[in-house]
Amino acid sequence: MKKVKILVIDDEQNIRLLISEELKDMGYEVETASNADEALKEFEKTTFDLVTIDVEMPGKNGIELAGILRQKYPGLRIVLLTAYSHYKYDLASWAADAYVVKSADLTELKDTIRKLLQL
Amino acid sequence: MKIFEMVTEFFTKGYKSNAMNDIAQLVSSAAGAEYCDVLLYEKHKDQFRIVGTSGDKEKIASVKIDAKSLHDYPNVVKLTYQDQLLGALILKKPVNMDLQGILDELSLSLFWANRFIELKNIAERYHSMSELTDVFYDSVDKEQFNAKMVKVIARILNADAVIFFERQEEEYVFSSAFGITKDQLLFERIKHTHPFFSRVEKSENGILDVKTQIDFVGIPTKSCVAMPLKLQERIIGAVIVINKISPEGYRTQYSFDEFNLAILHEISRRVSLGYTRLEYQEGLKKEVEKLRNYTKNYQELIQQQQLYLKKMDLVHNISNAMRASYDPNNVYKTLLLGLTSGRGLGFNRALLLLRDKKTELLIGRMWLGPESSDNITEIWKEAERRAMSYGDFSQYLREEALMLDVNKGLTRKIEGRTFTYKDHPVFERVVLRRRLIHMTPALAKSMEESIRDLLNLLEVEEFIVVPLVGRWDTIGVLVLDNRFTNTPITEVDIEVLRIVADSAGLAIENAMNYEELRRKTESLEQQKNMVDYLRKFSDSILQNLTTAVIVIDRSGKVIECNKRVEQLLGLPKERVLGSSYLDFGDAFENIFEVAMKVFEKGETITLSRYRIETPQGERYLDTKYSPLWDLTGSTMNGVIVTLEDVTQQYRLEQERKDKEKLAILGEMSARVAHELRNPITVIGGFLNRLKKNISDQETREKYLTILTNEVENLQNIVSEILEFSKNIRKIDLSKFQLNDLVEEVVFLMQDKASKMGIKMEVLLSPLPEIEADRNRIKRVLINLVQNAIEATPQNGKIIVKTQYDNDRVITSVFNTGEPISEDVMRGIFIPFYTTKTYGTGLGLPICKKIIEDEHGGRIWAEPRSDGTQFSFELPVKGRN
Repeated sequence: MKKVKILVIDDEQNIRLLISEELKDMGYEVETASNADEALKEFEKTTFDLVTIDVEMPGKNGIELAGILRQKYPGLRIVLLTAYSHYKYDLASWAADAYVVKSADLTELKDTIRKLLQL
Repeated sequence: MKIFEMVTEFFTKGYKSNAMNDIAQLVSSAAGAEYCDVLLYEKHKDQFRIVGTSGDKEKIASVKIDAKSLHDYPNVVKLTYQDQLLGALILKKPVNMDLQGILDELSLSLFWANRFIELKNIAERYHSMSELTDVFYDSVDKEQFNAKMVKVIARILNADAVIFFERQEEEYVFSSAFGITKDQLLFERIKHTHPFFSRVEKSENGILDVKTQIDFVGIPTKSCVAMPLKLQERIIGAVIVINKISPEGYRTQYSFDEFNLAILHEISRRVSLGYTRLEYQEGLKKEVEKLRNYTKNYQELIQQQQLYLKKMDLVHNISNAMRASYDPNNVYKTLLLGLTSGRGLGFNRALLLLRDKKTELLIGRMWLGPESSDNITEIWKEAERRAMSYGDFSQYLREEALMLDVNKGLTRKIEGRTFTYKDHPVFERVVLRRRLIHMTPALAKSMEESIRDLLNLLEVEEFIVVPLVGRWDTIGVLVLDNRFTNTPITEVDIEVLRIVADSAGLAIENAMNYEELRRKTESLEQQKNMVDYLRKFSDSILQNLTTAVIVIDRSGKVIECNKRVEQLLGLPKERVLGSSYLDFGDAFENIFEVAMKVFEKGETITLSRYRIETPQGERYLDTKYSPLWDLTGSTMNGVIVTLEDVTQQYRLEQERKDKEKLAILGEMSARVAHELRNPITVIGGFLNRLKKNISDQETREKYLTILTNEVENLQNIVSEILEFSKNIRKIDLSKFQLNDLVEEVVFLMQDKASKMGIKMEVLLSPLPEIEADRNRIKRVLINLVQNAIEATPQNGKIIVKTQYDNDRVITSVFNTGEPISEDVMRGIFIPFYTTKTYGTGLGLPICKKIIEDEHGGRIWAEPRSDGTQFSFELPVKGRN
């Protein structure tokens, strides 16, 4: 069985590290990128089943990136991460499949990813 | 018969008498001679002439014997008396020469008879003179006088002819003559310088010419006397007496002599007197005549004046009546009535033609008068009765004109009739030259063909055409006639018509103008209603404005205000108008004092959100004070104050501001939460992982390092937030050289930049020392350099520069990174507005706080084509 590949995109190095280690523990193959441009480069190298994108990033923000990826890779599952408990955009309605508020407890993120990959 | 008687008879009767022959017979008998001749001595010729004989009668008168040769005859006896030679006797073969008795008697008789005849002549002439005097009295004029004068002179002087020349200027002009006709004169007018007249003029007592021919007289002249006729030394003419005619009886000479001249002189003196009298009389007669004429003229004049006055009174009445109406139609009727009424000017018919300038036509308008002579007496009688029933003629005209229906009878004949007045022999003169034309039957006949149109219409040969002249031009024409009575048109009529025409023209023009004025007024009234409406409209706008409008004059009195003012001041409008602004309470006093300032400056003043305390509580007003200029824009009549109660808006604004503050706070909280969430997520996450992997030494250490860093990060964030949210803290001022500080910071950051491959450049200008908080400024500098390093790509460049300008020190940090967008530029100094990976988003807001709030300087960012530059300036003297 082919391993599920996930790309974690976040400008905070420690966040990237935290998420990728958690997801590796779950048995996924994980790559990271610190901004949108790096992420798009990763996509040129290989394909991914799922991406987690931090909304607040310098350069192209997470929402923009999600839009680009959605167009290019229709089957890709996209999870947006945000520090805000409430967000002014209705994110779920368009590019992303889900959005998760950053928290010390990563259970919600992990549950969301698991569910999306089972579909 | 006695010898004396015989001699006298001869002298009286002349040769017709046989007396001298008888005397010759007597002497001849006495002497016993064959015959005897009687001779008389003619002194002026010194000769003897046979006047009687007893011999051959043929010798009588024709035989003359020269005095010297008398002695050649034999038996001659001279007849003398007192040594005066009188005559002679020649005897043929006398027998007895003793004749002394007869001779003496004869001589004596001759002498006295001669004398007697002379005296008789003189008496006769003086008698004639008195006749002359009668002539003067009988004559009434010079012509008659002159004619009689020459006749009398001819008789007195026994002249063939007498001519009288009158002196006129430089000439002698034939006046009258006797015994000679005008045709027998060679000239009737002769220059006074003519030798003859010249001689006459120069002579005192006239001239006597014998055996001369006067060159301007066509009959032979044997002798003549001429005399100037003088009137008080002025020569008025000359009398020329020509050729003496032989009188009855014997005369020794037959030409004029001195005696005749003397008589003529005498005559001339009398003639002069007569002339004087005549002239005087003529003058008197003329004076009397003049006086008579004067009286007559005067009386005529008075009569004319009376008539004229009477007619003028009518004119006055007609004019008055015309002026009483403003309806042109009524004015026409009044005029025509006045002209035709028996109580007025009494013309039989009056026709009015009005002029149309555009078409150059006279258009028939109205014609008043009887249509035919049927029942004319009754018609006029009835009209007269009606006219007389009014006391005032003018009133009659007014009322009658109103009732008069002119649109029938004669008017129908001329309705629509037009006459071209240009080139019309009558109308052109009347219309264009404004002449009044009196057409007489004779004149009508002479121009019959060319005025056929008029004659056919009027069917009358005498009429008068009168121009109706307005202020500037002829407006129409009146044609008047006496078709039925044939009364001639008089001078007075014409005079009066001139005046009627003038005043009628003006009255008609007046009425026409009034008519036009009335029409204009109507449209003006409509306009006025519109203006009224607009005025009410604008007034209602003023009254219903939500803004209070109040106008105050220089003395501070209210001269205009609207309803809104009532509400604002809590006073009825009546109390506000005319009151001084000082009466409206303290709250408004300040407001209106501003208005008084506008009077001084003449400029509009605006004060917004002006707070006042009223009994109803605090209010906020937007106020505006504008000068109210007069129409010329030179005098300020007042100040228009508009007061808008914006209390409601003000409160809403305040609410909005509060809300904005809350919103900013909300955003701030969210940003703070975001900033805190990342390290908390990391710390929480790794703590969980640490729990799971606590046994693994390497992992544990790795996680602990991460945790330590994140806690430190968290620490920084919290302290920055605190720093920013704190009020302006007390700053520690000191004097220092900013250039030194710049170098210190650049040195501090050099390593970091080098690691990124960024070149740092420093451009310092000489600066004075500044007074500021050194540590705080250092922090700003570090922040700006740090930001620059983060924004600059590899191999980029950073330039730090200082400048001194006008008591200010300017420091700028330039980097060659991507120029930041306008959008970003706007939010760059807002807290937590960050786009970079590191930092809290409070760096620049804190810099702004330090520079602007703490030091009174300024900080700004500007994008350049090749990068971005951040600058701040500080006052040298420190914060004021």
